[in-house]
Amino acid sequence: MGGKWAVCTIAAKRHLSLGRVVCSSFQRHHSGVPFFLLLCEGRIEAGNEPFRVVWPDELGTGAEAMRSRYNEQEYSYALTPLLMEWVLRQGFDRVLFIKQESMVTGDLTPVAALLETASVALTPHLLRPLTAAAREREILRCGTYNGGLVGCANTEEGGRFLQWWAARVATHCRYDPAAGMHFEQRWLDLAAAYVERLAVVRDPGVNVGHWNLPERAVTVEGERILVDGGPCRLFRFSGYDADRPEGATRYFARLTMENLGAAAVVFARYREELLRAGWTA
Amino acid sequence: MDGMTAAGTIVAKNYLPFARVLGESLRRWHPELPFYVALVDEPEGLFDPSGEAFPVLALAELGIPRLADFCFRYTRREAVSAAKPYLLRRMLDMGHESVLFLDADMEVLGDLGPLLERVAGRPLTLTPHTLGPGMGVDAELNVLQCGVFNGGVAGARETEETRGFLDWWAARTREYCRYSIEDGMHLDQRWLDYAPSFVPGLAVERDPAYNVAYWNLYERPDAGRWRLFHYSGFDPMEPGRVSRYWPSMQMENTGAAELFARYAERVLAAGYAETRTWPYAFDRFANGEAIPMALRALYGRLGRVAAYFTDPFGDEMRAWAAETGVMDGDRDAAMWRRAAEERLVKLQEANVLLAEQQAELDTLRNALNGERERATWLEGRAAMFERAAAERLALLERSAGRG
Repeated sequence: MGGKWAVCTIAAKRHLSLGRVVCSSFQRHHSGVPFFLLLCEGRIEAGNEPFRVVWPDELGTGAEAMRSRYNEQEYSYALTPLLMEWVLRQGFDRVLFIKQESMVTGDLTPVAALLETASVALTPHLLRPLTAAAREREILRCGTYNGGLVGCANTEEGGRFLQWWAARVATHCRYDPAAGMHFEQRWLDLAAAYVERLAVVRDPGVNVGHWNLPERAVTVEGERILVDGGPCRLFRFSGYDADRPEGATRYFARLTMENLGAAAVVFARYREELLRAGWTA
Repeated sequence: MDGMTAAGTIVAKNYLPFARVLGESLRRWHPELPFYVALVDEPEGLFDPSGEAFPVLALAELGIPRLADFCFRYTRREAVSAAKPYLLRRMLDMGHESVLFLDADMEVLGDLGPLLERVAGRPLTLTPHTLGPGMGVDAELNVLQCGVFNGGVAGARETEETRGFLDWWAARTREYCRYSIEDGMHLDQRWLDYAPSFVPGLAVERDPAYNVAYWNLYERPDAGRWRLFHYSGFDPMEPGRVSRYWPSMQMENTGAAELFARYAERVLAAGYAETRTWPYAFDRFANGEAIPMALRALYGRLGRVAAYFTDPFGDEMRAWAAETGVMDGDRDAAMWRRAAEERLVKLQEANVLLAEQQAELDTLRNALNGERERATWLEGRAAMFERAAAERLALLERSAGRG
């Protein structure tokens, strides 16, 4: 793959251990790809971290204006397109945003490579229909794409998309499904209309999370984690609480370590890494 | 094109004139293209389907399962929308290689050739409401509430991928095709948001010529390029108003005032002043009494309990509705829930009983099959013995003769 790419995430100081895990797990599988962490709240000693710290005031006045409008969660989500734009401004050809509660478990180069021809890369919550409608309906309220992994190329169309997304979430990044809003995520549904060169990531090993775990076969062979027989590249822990390790996510109570099968091993490894990275409740 | 491609629309009989105008406009540009109209309604003697310029597909021909339940749970608008994947499937079943659904309130203004070619080449073809931002945040939120793609155009080609998607879409609209935005539902349309995820071969039609409507006029100012216009929410009886769905839009700002005026005339000439007063066949109980909206909506939410009523249009449902106050407009939800729960308990008891009987039946069936197999085996053995005995007999007879 030609050109340079970089990865970024967003975390508040009290979630720094999550940021460290996503960064160090990424670095284990990729060498020489810069990793940026936007610290959306608090101050830290930046020199001791595995990532390059980005401060909100580096993103320009847009970030400043949002701080008073939003609570911490809304604010951190709304910063996503601004951070991606900032990374591209540093001279990278492609940027991948990964949400903080994630562990990179394999090579993400194939996702970045999609952006050689595509302007934007998104991962759907579901790759195929479910048997029952209930979870499909819930996902329609949240957005068909998951905001945990978003890729963008430094092209005219990519830039236009980020600029539009940033403008929308600057004022409309709340939880209000009845109004057609779900933080930054529902807006991504419009990418199918607005972005001609949209890559829909169909690798089942990318962005594995509680919303698709029931349909994906996770197996563990020594250090290797497989999903549907292929390599697991990015595992997501949205809603996971390392202090309540028996549950997978607060969003889906029925999913527990007991019924997760081999995926429970992945959660256990994630928890170990979090504790090593200084997890505090 | 030689019948490999076909187009179709769906109406209740009050909208028949819209289908007539669409059919005429389609014939003008594509006289060879078969055009079907599915009737989600009953003619009730008010018109003769065989007298129309197009084949009318009866509701029962669309393959919608448990039709009475379907007709009872939905309003007219919901039922017309929910039938869409069924019509697409039906037209494929008829042997057309590729099929194009068009909303009845559309008019063909130019050559649809490039669109039809795309439809013929891709598993699924959809048109987004708009091709880019520009309407502002409120209009965009409205699109997110209604669905990224407009359901007025849907093209499908005979492929396995297409069938898989249509089967799923049909299953969803069969149960979840309400107008209920807070539930993430907007008739059949929000389900299409899954198309980019579920159909890798999806074609997003980006030619601004197609599905031009009030929501995208701002990005398509060149009227000379319009080929397929969508008069969504336009009422020919009130030709000065662009759309009932966007009351603030002024006709003089559309750049299409003449087009709207001419369309209103055409729909009226096709009989709309009369048909608009025609009743919807599924608005009444079997005894002619009107079905209250509240009852319909509640019935739609009953889920599996609804199966208790074998004929929702019958006396039992009417009596129940009267008993619970819904017939008088008393929308006591708690009372409804209690009544529904009672039914649910009964239904669950019945289900348990049914499951037990089913299991017993399965055991008996297994035993019977075992006996059958044994009987067949014994028959085979008997035949073998018989043959052996006959051979032996013949041998004995021959040796007796020689002796």
